[in-house]
Amino acid sequence: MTEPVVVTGIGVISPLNPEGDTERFWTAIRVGEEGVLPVRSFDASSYPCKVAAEIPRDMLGAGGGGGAVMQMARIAFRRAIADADLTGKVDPKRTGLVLGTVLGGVVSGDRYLRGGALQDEEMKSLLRRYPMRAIAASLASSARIGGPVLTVSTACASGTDAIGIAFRKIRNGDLDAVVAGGVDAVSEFSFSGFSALNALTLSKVRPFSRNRSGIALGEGAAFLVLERENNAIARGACILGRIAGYGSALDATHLTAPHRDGRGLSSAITSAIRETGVEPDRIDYVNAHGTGTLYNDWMETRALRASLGPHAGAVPVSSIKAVLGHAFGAAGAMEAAVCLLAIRDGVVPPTANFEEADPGCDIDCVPNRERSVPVRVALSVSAGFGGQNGALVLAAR
Amino acid sequence: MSGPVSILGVGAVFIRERNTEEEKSLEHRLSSAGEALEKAGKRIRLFHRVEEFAFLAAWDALKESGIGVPLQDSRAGIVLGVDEGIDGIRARHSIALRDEGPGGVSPISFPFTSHNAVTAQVSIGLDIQGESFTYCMGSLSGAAALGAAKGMLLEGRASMVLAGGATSIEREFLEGMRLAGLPNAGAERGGACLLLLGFPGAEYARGGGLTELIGYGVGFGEDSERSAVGACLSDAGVSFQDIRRVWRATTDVSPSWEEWRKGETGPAIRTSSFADMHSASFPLAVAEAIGEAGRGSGRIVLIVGGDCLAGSAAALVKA
Repeated sequence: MTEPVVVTGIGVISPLNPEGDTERFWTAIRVGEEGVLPVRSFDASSYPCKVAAEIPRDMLGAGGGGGAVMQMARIAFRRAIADADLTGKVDPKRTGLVLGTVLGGVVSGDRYLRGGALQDEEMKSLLRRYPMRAIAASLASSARIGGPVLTVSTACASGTDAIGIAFRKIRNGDLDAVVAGGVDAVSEFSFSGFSALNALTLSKVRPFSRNRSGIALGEGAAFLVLERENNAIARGACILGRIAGYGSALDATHLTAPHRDGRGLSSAITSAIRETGVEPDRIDYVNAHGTGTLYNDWMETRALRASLGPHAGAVPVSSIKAVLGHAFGAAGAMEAAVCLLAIRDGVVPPTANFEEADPGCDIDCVPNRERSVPVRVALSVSAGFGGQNGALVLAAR
Repeated sequence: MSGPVSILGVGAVFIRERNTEEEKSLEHRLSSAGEALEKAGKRIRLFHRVEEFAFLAAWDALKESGIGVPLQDSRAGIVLGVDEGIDGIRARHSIALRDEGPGGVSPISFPFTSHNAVTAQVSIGLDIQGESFTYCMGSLSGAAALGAAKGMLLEGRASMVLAGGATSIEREFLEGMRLAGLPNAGAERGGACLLLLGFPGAEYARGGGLTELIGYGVGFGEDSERSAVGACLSDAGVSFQDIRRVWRATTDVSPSWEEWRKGETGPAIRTSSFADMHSASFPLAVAEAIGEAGRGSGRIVLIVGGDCLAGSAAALVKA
């Protein structure tokens, strides 16, 4: 027995909508508003790269404590629950939470180790925020969730995998509703690491563009409320779309570099599409992982060619990381939200900052301008360190 | 999705104290496994202790099942619970940045500050190309991995799954625990336990399948342990009276445990000797429980664990 799974709520906070307004987020994505700006959350003067996509810390407020990453998660989580009008409408024991994060509370641990002389209470507070599972525990407690509360960390596929795991729990009849998504924050911890790997752009993020120069770090949080369709209908919820399929696969080749032919990503996409029961040429839009690195862009193009066949050259494919940077654990969840909004409005967002076609990326990457296209079925893909790949198929109801 | 899955192989590795015979034996076993892998045409380069524990446990689980490596199986999956095991790596990254600035940060070790690097290293070494997840849930990390692996098999999304937990409790973690008000967090230690889960009738199973993971359940919030055990019993379709023994897998078991089972004609309770192994504790307790019950005995054992933040989990094993 498989249960149809629908989405009834979206909550997003990003550098483009620091107040957490989803419509503001979508408008900014559609016009290609630049979110990658000079770094503000720490002193980046000693790094070659000086840009990242950040949410001004003063806009996060201090309510509830827990630091920036906790605040981002809390804002997006509450927005999603409010959007779905979920409170008091579902059985807490049959409601779960799946959070994807790569860094979790690492900022707190980093501050504890590098913060100089700290008061005892401040030190204890930082250590309490550090555990990866602390964010999910706090969110679930605040919403009185009584079902499974999971924290998954699969590098840059974490947000996608969190939604995929949630999808399966409802589809199999284990749960009625799951709030699923991801969160991560920019910190000098990760910035220094990616800088050491020479992965950071010195200018703009240009996915699929021949003159690409690397990634920019980004941050934020996004959550979707997934529900059993019958439950959502019975309680009169507004249905934003369906999760129709999900796939995950490993490259098993290298810790940081993707498989050159996109073997794992292709396998994840094929598996997700197969689950939907539709042919690959029914995909109307692909939200790419699109980091703006040479190996990712080429690998992703090959994976789309292998899994979609000739349709890969015709379907619009865009990357929102051009303007949002790479929000790691939050990225896949933000991109799934974008797919649902594209389905709702019949508009696919652009790949901003595109300048020069790359023969290695022979796809329609929707350069610089949004496009009106009826979207019934969208594919959202993620790939990450460790050869981790995930794919979600989202569809109109 | 309910139903049993077979435990085709078990690999367990642990070190209770540094610089002991246990540690020397680990080095020897790692070296032998590396040589055998190289003969099979694969090389593996491990950088940190937590990877070594995970790889060796995976190697032993496959060896016990009789399955050759590398797997080269696009439907073989891996699910690991990894959490505090990379705290030392993360701390050393922060300390390098503090003491030497951006130039002190190592591009080699940075990727290992991500939890799924441990899972990835095992997948690369053994050529596991199917689904993969890494759960970070403190003392329930390994339990979450077992539950996820069971689901993957029952949904038909994997032909076999290596699942369990790995940890390496290092100086930095212990120092953090001390400052957080937990001075008795023990010595530096670590380990891993991975189970190879699959189906008994599958062509790859060589004599395995006598032991089964028959139920799994979780709970969160108030009365999470009762919820987890209830869900687990329901998943397996057995009653509390069918259970031969209960194992407490973690140190963090809620006080309500003794309370709620009052009046039940329940089994004897034992605490696992690996209850302080955090992410690896639950699967290590499963292995210990199977060993004590005797493989092929048909005895049903319940393993229960808790974590102050992640809730509770329970698993039922038919030995």
